[in-house]
Amino acid sequence: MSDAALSTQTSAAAGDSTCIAVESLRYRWPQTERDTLAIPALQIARGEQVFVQGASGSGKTTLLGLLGGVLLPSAGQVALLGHDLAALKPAARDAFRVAHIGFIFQLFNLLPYLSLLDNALLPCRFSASRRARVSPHGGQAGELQAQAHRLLVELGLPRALHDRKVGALSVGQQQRVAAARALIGAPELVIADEPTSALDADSREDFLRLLFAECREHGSTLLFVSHDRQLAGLFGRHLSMAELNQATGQEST
Amino acid sequence: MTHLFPLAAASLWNRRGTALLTVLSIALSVLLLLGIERISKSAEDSFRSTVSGTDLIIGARSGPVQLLLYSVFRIGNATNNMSWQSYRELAARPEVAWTIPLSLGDSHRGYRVLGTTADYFEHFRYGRKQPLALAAGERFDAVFDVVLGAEVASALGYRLGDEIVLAHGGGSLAVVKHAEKPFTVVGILARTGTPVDRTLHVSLDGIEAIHLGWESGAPPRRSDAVSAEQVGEHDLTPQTITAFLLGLKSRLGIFAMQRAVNDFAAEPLTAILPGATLQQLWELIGVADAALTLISACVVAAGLIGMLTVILTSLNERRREMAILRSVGARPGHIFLLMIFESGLLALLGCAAGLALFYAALGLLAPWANQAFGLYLGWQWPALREWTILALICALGLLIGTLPAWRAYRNALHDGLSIRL
Repeated sequence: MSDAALSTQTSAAAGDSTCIAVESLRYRWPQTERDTLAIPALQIARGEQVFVQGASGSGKTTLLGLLGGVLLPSAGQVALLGHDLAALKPAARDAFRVAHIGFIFQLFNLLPYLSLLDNALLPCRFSASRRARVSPHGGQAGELQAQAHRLLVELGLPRALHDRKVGALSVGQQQRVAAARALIGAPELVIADEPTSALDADSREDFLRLLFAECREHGSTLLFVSHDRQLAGLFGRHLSMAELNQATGQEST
Repeated sequence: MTHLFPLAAASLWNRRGTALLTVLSIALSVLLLLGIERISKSAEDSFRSTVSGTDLIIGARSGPVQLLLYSVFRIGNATNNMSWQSYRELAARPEVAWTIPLSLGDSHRGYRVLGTTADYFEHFRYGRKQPLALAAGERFDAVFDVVLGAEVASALGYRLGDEIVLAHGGGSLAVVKHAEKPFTVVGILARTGTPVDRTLHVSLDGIEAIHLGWESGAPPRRSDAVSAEQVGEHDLTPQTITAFLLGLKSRLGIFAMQRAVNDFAAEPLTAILPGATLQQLWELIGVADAALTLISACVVAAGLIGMLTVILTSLNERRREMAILRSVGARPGHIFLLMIFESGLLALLGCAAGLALFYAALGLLAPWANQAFGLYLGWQWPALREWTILALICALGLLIGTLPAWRAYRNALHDGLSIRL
């Protein structure tokens, strides 16, 4: 493929209903010779719950980095909620990310020295818009906390646990705290990167059901990335990195 | 940015073991710096307060520092005395308000004996123009009365009414004693923190009396000896004194008076301004003082570098923590601030702990320092200079904190949101 063929075309002027719009996207890690990722087009509508299956080395992490605006495309465009991430300044990109995206990672992604509640409230510390959506009316003092408590309880974490440090929790419980943290303040997009790989089959399903319900309730789009094909059936839409990624020179990472 | 602070504090609390050690090392260096600062300040204060309110010190021609050392600090000896007649002549000048004659040369168990007059109690001032006060008893009146300085009394265990024998010459090895003419303790002075505490005060008459028959400079032969009872028959007006302190009616006349003394025709004399000469002397001593301060500043630097090492070492372990914070919206700038907060907090806690240790040490050691060295270490709030030092240490802590903060900032940019640990 020539560079010219993939050079930037116009953005697919994202409508209000589009959450993610990817066009002619290519990414090449610095000091490598071939593209890691090449996605001609991808559209995800708001409210969709999408499963992206891919083995390790398939470019999953790179794709998430690009969607989160941590990486910038070598060519092409990534638009989130109608915003071209590459066009934003770094600080604005950081602010945009926390305002509109919640992340859930594979493991160990809580701060061990904070309580459940404080972990769940972390995005609100850094983003005024997340804070505003939790307590829209400027917020009485306890409203943030009250909403966080409510969310944690909904995710199956009893109130009695909320002031404990997260270190004492089981892996499954920790993942629910991480989900609460991603969901608080109802971000438009929730990106989950292998969040269930450390859970056993039963907890995996439980966790997913809760995640689906919460995303639906908040109107959040869910992008769920995993190597585990068995989960695909639970999602409304199923993508495979192998089909998405047209790059020939995939390198294992 | 205030919401970052609890986060930094919680993170630090999670690593409280190493944090505590870091704080301790800073605290100890702060303690050392403040301690040396306070001790040298107090030494300088007590040094400068040895004499006050005196306009001129006049003695036989000698170097100004030497004259100051023997007349005020009771260190060393006068090479020459001055005549009583010159003293009377100068003291009688109309611009002179008061004089205190000083006659030195004898000692008692290592402490100097000062012969003087009642004017000493009247006009001598130390510190902030404080007069001498008696802790017990009264001023000397009779020929063989002695008034002790506070330290003499407490170190040697003397009380009112005790009889003591003076020795001829100075130093603890003075062997020729005025044993036939013992003195009676009639008064003990309150502590001053000056050389007065280490002095025995007798009247000029007393000095003259114990030296009757000693005109040759050696103990009299038995036939020439004058017994204590016979003293009254003699004229006890001294021939010479060692030096005298002088106060003028108007301070404007100081330099004219000094010139008059230095040009005195009858005998070569020297007049010094105590303040100026004290300053001269302090500049000599001040070098050691500056060296100590420099050393303690180095210790503070070592403490802060220790903190830097600890924080830099922790950076790798904390990469995941930083990535988590990034993923929940912390910008690289936030990461930078968090790290700065941490080093600032460590430095601040170190300073606070150092201050607490300093006052604890002050409470424990002040009485001893006063007793052993005559150093008065009062319980005062930190002075402006000490606050400045503390602020400087905190500022340095923040400044040093920029290095790990910058590294964490770079890491945060480089690592992005990936958590791969």
